Amino acid sequence: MAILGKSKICPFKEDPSLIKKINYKEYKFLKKFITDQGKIIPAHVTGVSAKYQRLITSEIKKARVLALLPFVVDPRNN
Amino acid sequence: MGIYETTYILHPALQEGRLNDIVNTIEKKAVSLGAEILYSDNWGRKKLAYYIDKEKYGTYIFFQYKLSDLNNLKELSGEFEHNPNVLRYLNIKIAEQDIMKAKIKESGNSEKDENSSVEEKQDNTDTEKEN
Repeated sequence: MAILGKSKICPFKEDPSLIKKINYKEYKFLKKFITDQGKIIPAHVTGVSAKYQRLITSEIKKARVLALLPFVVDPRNN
Repeated sequence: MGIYETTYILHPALQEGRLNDIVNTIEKKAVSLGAEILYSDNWGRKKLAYYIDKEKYGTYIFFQYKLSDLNNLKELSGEFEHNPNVLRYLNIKIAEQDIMKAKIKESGNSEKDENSSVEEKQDNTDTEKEN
């Protein structure tokens, strides 16, 4: 986990080629932005800028509908 | 008028011949509704992130098409809704630049490469955090 309050650089500003990967078909890439429980990690933790966080959120939600990503993961079942 | 893409999950118990029949009938239905199919792909059998209709696996079918009338999209959705072999479907409107090129064999290889590159990048970011 990142330390709160520490300024981070948006990964998509560092490497603009990653922007293409914000897509529900690239669900393996989107897994970086969800927790083990399946929750979307807030932008202030990952350092993603607001613009791309909005995109990530909507794409994760699409992937959830298609069962590519989980809505919830119960840690007791694993 | 717009360009759309649809992904749907078919029942895992279907044999290959039966599966192709269903894919063909759905594509024929789409064409009869005035859709022009631009790209279609079979993502294969995947493990679902959660159970749908008590099923653990599903076959993912993906296609992109041009459609002139939005009412026809509703009718196509009805087709998915009433087909018991379709576990789940998702229609999305896309821009013209998102149309995929019809190179199914090559795309299969490049997907693997992309996945491996993703993992590499994840490793890099992890090490950066540690530093």
